[in-house]
Amino acid sequence: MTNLFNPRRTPDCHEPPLSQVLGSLEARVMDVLWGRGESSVRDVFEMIDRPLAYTTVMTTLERLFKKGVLDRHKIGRAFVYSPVLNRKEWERRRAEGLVAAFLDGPEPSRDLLVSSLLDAIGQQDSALLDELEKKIRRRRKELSERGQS
Amino acid sequence: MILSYWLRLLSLCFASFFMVHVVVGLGVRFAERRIIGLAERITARAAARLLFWVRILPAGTAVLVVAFACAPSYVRFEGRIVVERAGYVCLAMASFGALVWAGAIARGLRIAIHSVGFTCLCRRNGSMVRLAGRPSRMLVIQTSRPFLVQSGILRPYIVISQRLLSDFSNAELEAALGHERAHWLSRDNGKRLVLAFLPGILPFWRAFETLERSWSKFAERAADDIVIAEGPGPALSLATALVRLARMHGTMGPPSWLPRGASLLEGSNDLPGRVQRLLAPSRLGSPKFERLATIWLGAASLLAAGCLAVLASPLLQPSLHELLERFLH
Repeated sequence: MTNLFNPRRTPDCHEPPLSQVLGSLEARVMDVLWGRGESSVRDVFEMIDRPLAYTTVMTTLERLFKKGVLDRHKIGRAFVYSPVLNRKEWERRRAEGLVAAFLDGPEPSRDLLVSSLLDAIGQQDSALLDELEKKIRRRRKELSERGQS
Repeated sequence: MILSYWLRLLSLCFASFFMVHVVVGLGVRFAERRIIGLAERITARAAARLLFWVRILPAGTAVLVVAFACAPSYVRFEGRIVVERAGYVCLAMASFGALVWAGAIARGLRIAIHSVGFTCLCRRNGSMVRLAGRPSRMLVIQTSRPFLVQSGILRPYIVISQRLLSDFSNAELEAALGHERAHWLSRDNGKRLVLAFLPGILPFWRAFETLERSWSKFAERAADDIVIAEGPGPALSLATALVRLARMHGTMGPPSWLPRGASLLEGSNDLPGRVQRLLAPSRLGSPKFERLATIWLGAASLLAAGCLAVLASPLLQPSLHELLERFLH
């Protein structure tokens, strides 16, 4: 099972986009948890505005935990769930995941009508970049000296 | 094979297109190195323009020959015989012609749809920032990946990652946006769309990748030149921005969303060349070679127009029709 957010459980950095991970019910459950914070299965079941069985909510929470979207701990005999990320961080990851998934897809950006600031860049040799930076510094110095004189 | 009047016309058009396109296309391929060599000696803007028109030349010539010579001669002289036999050579050529066009249209549509999807995605997931005193609209995507692209053709958006927005200094950002604005002013995304719809020589051989890559390189350099024209300060800031962006990509690993293996392609990695030009803007091409490029392009266009005029002339139309008839059968 791919684990999206918890680095302890996810050494793999090639994460699938979030939209492929969450279904509509899962998204609704997440809404409840972001609104309420830490909640038990019963809390979520009572808050959710759809006619669902208690076990469906429990299974959904369990699935979200396995995906790494939720954390949980036991209070008494019941599990209490909380989101691993807050909504803002979630949105950030979501946007990043979506854009990256689009650009990482089967069609590379060569097949996009975009102009990129740094077109067709590959892994740059760091010695080359050092050299270029040195030239830039030299040129900046020249310009500032000319400006002073 | 027995074909109707209209199917024969269609076959003839595709077959004629294919033959003219192959001949002119191979000519362009043959002269490619020399043309790119010439492009290196002229201003980047003129070079981009030269390469763009050279890339259009094969398909443009073939379409004009079909539209103004082959099709009119067929319509004028071919009797309205309901069915007639068409030869297999002509049909094979027509199939190739149809295939190269089908491939080009499919590719163009795929790229156009993909690009519209990308722009919509960025609009949905980015936060819009309007730049004071600028027509550009900027979408900020909350991501740690460093990128700055301009997406869209008629009303383009600049899409920038939050990381770049916070890491770049004001001067670097201004220079980078100036570069992207130059792309917009020269309608480079529109030209990319035109290139996407142009067919290759054979159905599975586009043959003009080097030319298209060189066009892209010179389009980037031409956009840099607009920043250079603003003075040494902005040029220096753009050079700094480019190197910083390259460094960011280096620390994050190669950006998987950029063309795969692009750095391995000859001439695609133009970073040192671009930085060098930004630091030493005096070497911006020679007017002598620019005139030469204009003469070359003008001569090629005149030659194409002359051939077309001869083919389309009323005196030659009966002979042309006879030739096409033989070819058809």
